[in-house]
Amino acid sequence: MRKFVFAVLLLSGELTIAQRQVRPDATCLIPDVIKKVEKRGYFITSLDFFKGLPRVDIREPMDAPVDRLLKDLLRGLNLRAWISDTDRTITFGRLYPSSSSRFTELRCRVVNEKGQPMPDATVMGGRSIVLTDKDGWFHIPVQSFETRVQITVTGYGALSISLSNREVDTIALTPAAKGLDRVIVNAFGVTTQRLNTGSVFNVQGSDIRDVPSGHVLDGLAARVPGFYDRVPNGVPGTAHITTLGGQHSIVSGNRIYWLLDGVPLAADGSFNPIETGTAQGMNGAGSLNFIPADIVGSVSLLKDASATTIYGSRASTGVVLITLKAGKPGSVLHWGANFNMGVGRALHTSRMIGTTQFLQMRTEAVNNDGYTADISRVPELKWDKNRQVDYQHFTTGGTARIANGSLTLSGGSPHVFFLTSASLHRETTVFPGSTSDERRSLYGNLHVQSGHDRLELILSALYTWEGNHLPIDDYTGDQRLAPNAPPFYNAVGQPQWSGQSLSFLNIPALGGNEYFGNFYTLVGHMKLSYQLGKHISIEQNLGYNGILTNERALQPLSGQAPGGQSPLAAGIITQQGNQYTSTIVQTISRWVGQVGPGMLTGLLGVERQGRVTSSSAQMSSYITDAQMYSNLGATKNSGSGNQLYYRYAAAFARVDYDVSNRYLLTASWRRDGSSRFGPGNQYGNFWAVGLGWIFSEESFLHENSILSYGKVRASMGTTGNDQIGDGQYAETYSAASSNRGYSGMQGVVPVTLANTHLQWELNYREEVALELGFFDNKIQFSVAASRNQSANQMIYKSVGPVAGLPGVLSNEPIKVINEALEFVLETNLVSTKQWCWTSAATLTIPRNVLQSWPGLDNSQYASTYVPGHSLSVIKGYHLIGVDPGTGNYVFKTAVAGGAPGLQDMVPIAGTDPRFYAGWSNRLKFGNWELDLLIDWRRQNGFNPLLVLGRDNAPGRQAPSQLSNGPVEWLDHWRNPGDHAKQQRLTTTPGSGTDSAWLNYLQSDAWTIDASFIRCKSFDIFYSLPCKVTKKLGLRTCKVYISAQNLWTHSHFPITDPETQDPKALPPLRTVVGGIKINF
Amino acid sequence: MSLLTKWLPGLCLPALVFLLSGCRQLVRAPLPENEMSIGAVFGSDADAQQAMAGVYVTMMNNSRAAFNGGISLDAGLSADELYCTQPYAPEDSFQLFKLPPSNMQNTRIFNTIYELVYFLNTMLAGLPGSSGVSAPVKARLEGEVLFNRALLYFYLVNLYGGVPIALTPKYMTNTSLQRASADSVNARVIADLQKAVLLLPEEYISDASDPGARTRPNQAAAKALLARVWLYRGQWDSAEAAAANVIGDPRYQLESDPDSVFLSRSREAIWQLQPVYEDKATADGYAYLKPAPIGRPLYVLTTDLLGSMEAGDERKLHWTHSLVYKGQVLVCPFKYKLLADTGTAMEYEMVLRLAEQYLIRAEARARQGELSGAISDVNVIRARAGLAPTPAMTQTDILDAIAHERRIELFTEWGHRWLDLKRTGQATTVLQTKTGWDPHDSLYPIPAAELLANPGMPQNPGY
Repeated sequence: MRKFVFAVLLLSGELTIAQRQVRPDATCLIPDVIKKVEKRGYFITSLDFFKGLPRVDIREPMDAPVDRLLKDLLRGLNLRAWISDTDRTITFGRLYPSSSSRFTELRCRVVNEKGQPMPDATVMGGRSIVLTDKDGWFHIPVQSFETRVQITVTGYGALSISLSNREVDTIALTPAAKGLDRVIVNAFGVTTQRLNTGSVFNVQGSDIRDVPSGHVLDGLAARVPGFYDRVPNGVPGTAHITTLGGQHSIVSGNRIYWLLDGVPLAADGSFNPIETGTAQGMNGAGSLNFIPADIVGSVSLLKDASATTIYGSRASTGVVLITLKAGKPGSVLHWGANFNMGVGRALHTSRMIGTTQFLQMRTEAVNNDGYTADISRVPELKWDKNRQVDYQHFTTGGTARIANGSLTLSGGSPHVFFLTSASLHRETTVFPGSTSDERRSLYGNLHVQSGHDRLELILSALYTWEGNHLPIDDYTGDQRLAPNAPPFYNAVGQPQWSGQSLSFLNIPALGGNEYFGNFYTLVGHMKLSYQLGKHISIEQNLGYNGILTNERALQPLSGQAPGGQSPLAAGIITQQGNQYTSTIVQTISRWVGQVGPGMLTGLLGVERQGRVTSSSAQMSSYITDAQMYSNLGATKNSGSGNQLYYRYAAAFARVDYDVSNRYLLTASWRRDGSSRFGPGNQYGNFWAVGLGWIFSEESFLHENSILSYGKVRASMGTTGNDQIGDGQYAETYSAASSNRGYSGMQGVVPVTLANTHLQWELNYREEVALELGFFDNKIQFSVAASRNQSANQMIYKSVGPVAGLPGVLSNEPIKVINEALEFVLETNLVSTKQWCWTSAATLTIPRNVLQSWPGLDNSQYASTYVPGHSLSVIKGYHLIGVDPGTGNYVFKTAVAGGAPGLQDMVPIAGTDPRFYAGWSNRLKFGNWELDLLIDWRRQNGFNPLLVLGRDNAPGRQAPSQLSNGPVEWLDHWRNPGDHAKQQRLTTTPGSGTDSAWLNYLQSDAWTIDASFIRCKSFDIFYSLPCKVTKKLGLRTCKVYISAQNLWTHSHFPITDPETQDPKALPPLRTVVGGIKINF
Repeated sequence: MSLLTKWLPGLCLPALVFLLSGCRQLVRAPLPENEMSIGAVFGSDADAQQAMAGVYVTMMNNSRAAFNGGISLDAGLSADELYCTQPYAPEDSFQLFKLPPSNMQNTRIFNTIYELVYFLNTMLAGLPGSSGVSAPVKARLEGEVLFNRALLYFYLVNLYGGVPIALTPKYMTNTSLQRASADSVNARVIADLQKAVLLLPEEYISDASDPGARTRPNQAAAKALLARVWLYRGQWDSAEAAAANVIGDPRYQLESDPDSVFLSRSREAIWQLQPVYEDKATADGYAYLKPAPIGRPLYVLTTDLLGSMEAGDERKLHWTHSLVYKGQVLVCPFKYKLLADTGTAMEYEMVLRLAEQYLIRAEARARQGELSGAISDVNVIRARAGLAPTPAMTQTDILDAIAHERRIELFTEWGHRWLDLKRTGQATTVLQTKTGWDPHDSLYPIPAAELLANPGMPQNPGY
């Protein structure tokens, strides 16, 4: 979509108007007129044009429309104004008199939408390629009056225009807001979709900002091809599970490399979990929560080698660059405010079985084994058979309240400008009690430029505090409590844990087991750049990210079953503190200039990184709850701590060569050193090349009415992976595990076998892509095919017991392939003043294959990986179904009717997505705007029936009487001839039915279809008409309703197909209403 | 050219910064705080002692793996000492002689022994070159390492036959080591012990937590083990001399009260291992006592063993414990009496004790025809048990009496009975009454995990 909006001023007739008389006694002072215009809400740049022109005659009345008033004001002056109604700015530019010879050089000035000069714009015309100077001027020797020139500035789109050397023109460019020529951030610089040779996908901050959760990842999901995001539960603040381009590495982690304004984040993805766990599940709190969605300017996701090689051995999975908003040069202070509030409820899950059917199931299971169902075998019969409680009320049935607020202030002079923002997010949970997740952030960005714009300084800092108050456990699984369990409180209001001497789980009492998490994050970034000469600039970056976590879990006696799991019968406080710091120092020099027929951009840089992770954990026991809450008289304390160091150094270079915006070449190289490898293996080289051909610029297609843009690009290269623990290459000793030690000494023991040959995993990536634009880029389509081979995989290789330790981390010639086809279709078919419809659809078809693993059969991984299949494929029995005669599960066996054994193991379908797609729509009608995002995934997921079954088989008594199950359990075999999905019930271990059950747990019933289509977000905005906003003194005002997870279609049983865990809280359906004001 | 001079300085600056700082230094990071490099471990006397302590902690924190009651229990089940009252697959397999190479318990014994061998070999590799460890400490630690390694190989060769001999910490070599002959393993055991005798001092090392404890092996421990190995090898004179040396040491006296034998201050102890968890006593106590207060005890003594105990044997009174379960009298071992650490009368895991030395010397003397000496040694043990002197007169009778005394004195300790039956060639004669016995069962199988990692290694016959 060639939707770059440019405003070109070609002055023809007006130029010849004679200089207007400017008299000192004229009626109006120009600044007065300007002030009047400013009062109408316009922002005016480039006022310095009016120096020495104090008074003019104005014919128009002062309340005339602005365009007429300005036209009148500039009458006869060699000045021109252009007015942008979209962002209400007025820019002035100067006009120059014409010349006469056709050999006179062509002179022109390039300015931006604010009328500021644009230095370093590439201008091609005649036989020359030049760059504009610091005032935006360029001069080209020409041999005709009319010359076609092409002007290219990153982010503004290539502009091709005929200029006359008899006139001096000012060309004003307006930045492309969308589409091919919008600025996107890539590695160590910016580019555009048009000129990029690698796989860089950019998401605008405006798409992310409106997410009710305020979570950046929620704004990326379903918008980016190749980016797979899964929430493990609906608890606020939970770490997402994300992959970019699939699973490359078998055991060494597949974490994305996150950079915030160029600063590597100190904790990627999640934190060290606290020992007690939290309701957020095993992944704990997300370490990206601290970035308020409000201040995100854009997010770039880099996947292929051409884009990521320059990040070296940390870029194996891909790189995500988050750029925060910055201020814009200007002289007026802008205030912005955004507030919204709303509610959230857990998505629908299966109903639990009612009392009558529950007791019938329990009885049936006992009867099936040939026993009488009395209270010794079905103890729940002791309880009131007519009582039925729906435990959802006590577990996940609440309503979460969500509130977001942010204030932004920006402004400054053309040389010093800033943006500062404060945001607040608070949400409660659907769990009972006063649980919540709260975030407060402060952000500031300051931009300082020297008068000649040679020196530039950017300072930014983001500080966030996040406070979590959550239960220690997710209550969702507790809904399985027998529906006729006695009341949680006895007649005198005391909590009870048993009735009729049968103990049960007291769900409300669990509320006493609380978790408090405090997370403090600071990100600071400084960039200092200096333009050394016409071609060369040098840049220094300093970055810091510090995260301090302080987590505390309280487990009072009142929250534990009496005489239960705790052997000490004590109240316990568990505390954990983590400190993550990451620093980066980077020096980059750039060279830009013409070399041969094209423009060369060269980049050379060096960087050092350091990361320190400290952790400490402490556990204290108390005899009484009172002592625990007052933190007095701990009977037992135990603690541990550790500190990890990671250092990193690299030199890198990149060359971009662009011939006529048609032929593009990118080559990059990086030499990397990581402290995670032993001496001699620390340094390695990575390289990539990318090629692009914009064939639509060729003469045979130029100005084709249908095909407006066409590019093929291809890239190949290498990236690395060093995501192993620190110090793994060395032979190291660690404290022996015992709490008394030996003869007064703690003792140390060897913990790792030294592997000094350890080196990074290497990925070879190849990608080819075709990008097309039709009908003036109203329709844009791209398809990319990529292949990634990860070799030299680091795995824990068993060396056999005789060697002493179980295994050693070693590089093995194992190959994992990730292939993907990615499609993107963007349309902008309707764009009138009244109506506007844009949409973007993405589709990703990934394929993950374990290509080869020499010696797999003789390793400890023999049953967990299957060559020729995805890494998520494991081996198990093939379930045929339930035998209508016996009622037992039947499996495919080599010997008919025999028990399934090792030889009957078949690959079980993996949980990789078969494809995933997103479709986002934005429809504008007058003052109304409607946004819709659909998320569609075809995939297999873990069978929740089987997951529940691992805890407790249907019909069997479970500890704490969590014996109930979802209504799906009712579909089981009862009598000979029944065709049921689940087998007959049994309570006896060792029976034939029981061994069929155990085989079932190891069968291909493990995964089932978990496809879904979900309305991920749905927003309606209404902008107040200009008349109203003017009256209120506002620039813009929008009211809106925003909804998440409004609707889901899936055949997945029991729980949500995304979380897939029947014991985890499903995602929430949230609706918020809010207002956005700018003034 | 002018262009070049203009931009060259700018391009060179970053490169200069990089080069000046030196590549190696840039990416050198300290190890995680919880970890020490091998250099740091052998950097000082105190640190090297910590590494030795780590070995003993590992021996004791792997409850019932090899040490801390593991070999005692499993070999006890294989021999005619113990039986398990409930079907429990991993340990049941020992008494029923149905030991698959994948058996978890057998794998744990094998793995933990080699793990300890590896720990010891890292010390042996690190100690000599270290400049921070003083010469006396170096000698003592080297002696301890060799002694312990000999003990580990002693059990390996007696449980599994010829095994790979790993003498260095180089896992790349060790991972493909082939099985050595039983003789060469034994030769290595003897060589290590002889060297240990020279290196180890006579005194016990002072124990900060329990002064006077015998928790670190001394010279006498090496001699005691050497006496046992020579006895096993049929070198009677050497065995007699070594045992006599220990018996003659005034530090060691038989405890007159059988209840005091396994306590931490036992004067009979030559070497004991200290429990390493605050709330736990020895795993022997835990294994035999835990189910006792409620329900059925898990491991009980065979009626055969109980029947062979003479009337009035103090050991039956003090070292066994009767329980009635569902009308049936079950007798459990009761040498170790503590389930948990009471903080007062501690029990330590007895590895070597004086009573065995008397029996070693008795047997060595009897084999050499010194019958009166043999009888007097046996009678020392019998006297402590409150029994009359043995009536045996002939060499055969005396050897039988010694075998009987070893059975009663050393039951459920470190697989003595199992190893005695095998070394004296009595295994088939005695054990064929048990279901499932086949002569090949006298050696446990090499665990499947080892065969998987080291293809080509031969399994013991019959598995």
